[in-house]
Amino acid sequence: MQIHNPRKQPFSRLTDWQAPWFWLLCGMIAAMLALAWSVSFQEDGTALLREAGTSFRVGLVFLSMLAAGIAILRQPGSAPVVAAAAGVGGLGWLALGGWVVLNNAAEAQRWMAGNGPWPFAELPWSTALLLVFVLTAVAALASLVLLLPRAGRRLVVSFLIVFHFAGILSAVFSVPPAPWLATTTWTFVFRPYLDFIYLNNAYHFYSPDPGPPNLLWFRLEYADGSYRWHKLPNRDDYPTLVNYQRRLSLTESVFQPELTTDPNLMAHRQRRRESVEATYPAHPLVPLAGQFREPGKYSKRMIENYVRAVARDDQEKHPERQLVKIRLYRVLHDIVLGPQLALGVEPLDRWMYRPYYQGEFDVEGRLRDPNDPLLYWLIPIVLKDDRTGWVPANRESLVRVEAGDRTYEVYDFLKVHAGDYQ
Amino acid sequence: MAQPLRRVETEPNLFVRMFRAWDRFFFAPADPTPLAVVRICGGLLILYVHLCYSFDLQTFLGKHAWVDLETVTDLRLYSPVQGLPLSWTPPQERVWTEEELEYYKKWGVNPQVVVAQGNWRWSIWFHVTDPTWMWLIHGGILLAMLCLTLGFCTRVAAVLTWVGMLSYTNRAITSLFGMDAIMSMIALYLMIGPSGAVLSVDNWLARRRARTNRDLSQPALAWPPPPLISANLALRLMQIHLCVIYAASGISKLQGSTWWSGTAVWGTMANYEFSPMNYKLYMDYLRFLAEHRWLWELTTTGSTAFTLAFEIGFPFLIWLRPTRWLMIVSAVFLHLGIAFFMGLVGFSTIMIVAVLSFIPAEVYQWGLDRLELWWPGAPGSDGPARNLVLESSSSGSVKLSRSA
Repeated sequence: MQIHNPRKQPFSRLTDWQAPWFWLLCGMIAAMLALAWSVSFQEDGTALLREAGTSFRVGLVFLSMLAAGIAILRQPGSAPVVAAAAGVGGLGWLALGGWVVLNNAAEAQRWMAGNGPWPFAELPWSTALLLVFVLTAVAALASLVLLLPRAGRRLVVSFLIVFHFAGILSAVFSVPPAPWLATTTWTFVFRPYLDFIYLNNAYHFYSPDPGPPNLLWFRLEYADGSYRWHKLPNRDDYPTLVNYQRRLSLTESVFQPELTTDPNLMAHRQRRRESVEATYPAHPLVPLAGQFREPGKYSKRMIENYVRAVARDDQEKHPERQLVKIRLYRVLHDIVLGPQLALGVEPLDRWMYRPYYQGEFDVEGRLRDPNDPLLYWLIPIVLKDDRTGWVPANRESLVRVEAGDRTYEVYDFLKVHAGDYQ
Repeated sequence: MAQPLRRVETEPNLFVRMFRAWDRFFFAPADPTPLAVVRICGGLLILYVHLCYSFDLQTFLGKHAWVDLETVTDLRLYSPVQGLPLSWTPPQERVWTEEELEYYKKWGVNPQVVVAQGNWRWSIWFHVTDPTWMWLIHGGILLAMLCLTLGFCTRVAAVLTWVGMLSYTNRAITSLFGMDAIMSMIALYLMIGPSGAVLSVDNWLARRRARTNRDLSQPALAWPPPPLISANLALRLMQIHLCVIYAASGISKLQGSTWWSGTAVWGTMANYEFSPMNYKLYMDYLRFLAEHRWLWELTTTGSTAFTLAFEIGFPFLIWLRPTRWLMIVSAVFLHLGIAFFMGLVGFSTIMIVAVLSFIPAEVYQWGLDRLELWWPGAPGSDGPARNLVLESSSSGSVKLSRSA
């Protein structure tokens, strides 16, 4: 007859790897080790946290979260298990630096209320702190929900469903022109949630109209006077379609225009543009208002980053050549229309490209001349068409292009501006 | 003799009916097979897309990536979030402080309308920049995605996959497109639902254990699999989200003149950087269309109208039995067209994967039964639960055998 020994039962749950408490114990040990590590090496908490075996601590916290997650999976319907998992998460959060946040709770509250940036940027792995905090909070709330009767649980889940889709809809409707309600609820209520789970997309695919793609053409100039063009993206440069399409997305990020332009500044820029009209005439077929496109601050920062990345890549691949400056053009590749195609126009014809000058940069991505008269202006490439009678004063731009069995002439001011004729 | 009293059934009121409909819609148990199919197909694509990052690990995620770590950290901590005034009275203008002037010079936004700075994004790639560790972690994330696809330790793999995926999207902020948004949506709902309950290594292991223990009561042995509330919840969330996506996409297009004039689709077919215009055969096809105006107009206007009708109609017609299959087939055609004419193979594939959530479980079961698939967890000739009974003989021994 087997004698049932109740005193052995609780301990057997801790050693049985199929039981959730085994995993909770493992998680707790890992989290406490991480916490002990961070506490024992701190005098001035923030400064020394940076130094004190951060990777080891983070690894332990990751293992503790993994163990807590496995525990929940072994017994998802158990409120004590889920609550204990939340406890493990809480310890992990403290080990990552959460106790610094607790010690400065007032600053954290100010940030939550929208006053100023995240105050704990100096903490290493600060975004891991955010992730662990949210996962822990979700587990803690879930443990409370599990205590409710079935109807109560369904009510809570129903509320979460409504909240979730209300948030998604607020993002969908926040694209201008947007209702005040949608924009305000997105800004003040749903933004943190949608940001966190990456559901901020408005899903306005190819709207309002499909437009021409943006390309980036870099002209790299070297100390010995030589140059080369680097065109982004070039379909043949990448091993897969996905890699190519990710570069297409890169180039689209420099297209966000400056939203407000001081009219006095605009007038000043037009006068400056007119000062070089003889050498670089305005495009005869594009409205003047559409020939100036200043990128917004965000796009300008992206431009600086891309120039630096291209410069760095070039110097790694060609260390023997000293790169001195980079000229950048944002190029719209016009979509060939049906009638044009019927008349024999090819999509790669030179005049199908509309380059906007983005400036000349040093290898660190700094704009060398913000007062360049052609900065952010369209540099025309115009098909020579005797029917229109448009002939620019600068005949140096005339180029004869041979494309297969076709020949045509264009006034290519990009080649003049970029200096390729020199 | 008096008639016995009969209970009078009254029609439940509108709120009760709505409540019951809501309860049936979200909380009725459902077969997890469609979710498993979404897991396998979505997992394969997620794995492939992140394998492609292997060619560009440092280029997109490293310290000196296209958007370097310093810039992305600056954006994460300080980028302005503008708010509209909460009352009719605009905020009073006042002299800016030095700090506010510097903020304006950097971000180009009036600091007095900034309601928050930074965002709530997180990523392992904000903190790991050592190339060796990056490769190790990248490999670990790919392993988690493989486990999700195969359905091994599915719940854990699903969470790790979601965390891993968002680490890439939150770091490589300027190299994302629609495919990433849809993938993250699917990964989120796969975390919520029991996507590994069937057609998975987990299920295969559970069946093996049950057969070894001769425990026929185990749900892993059942075919069709037992319905689960969480499976229904995950599927419904995915379905509703997909309806929102199509509705937003379709209705927003109505702002564009080319969608009204019927020429919008040409703007995608003849977009050199996206469409296969570098192939002579495709160019010859476009030229043929262009040289025959009636054909060109029919093609462009027809495909434009089809796109609008499908996207706007999908959220409504997909729920009706007579039009469901029409919508599913139309979705497949639309996305095959996008894949071919616009080169967006990844985006099209993940959209089709999401549409798979609308196919009834019975269809998958029928298909799997016919194929006698030898996938772990699927019924095959060795399927134990079907027609299997426990028989006991007079000697007291017990054996498993197939019923007639």
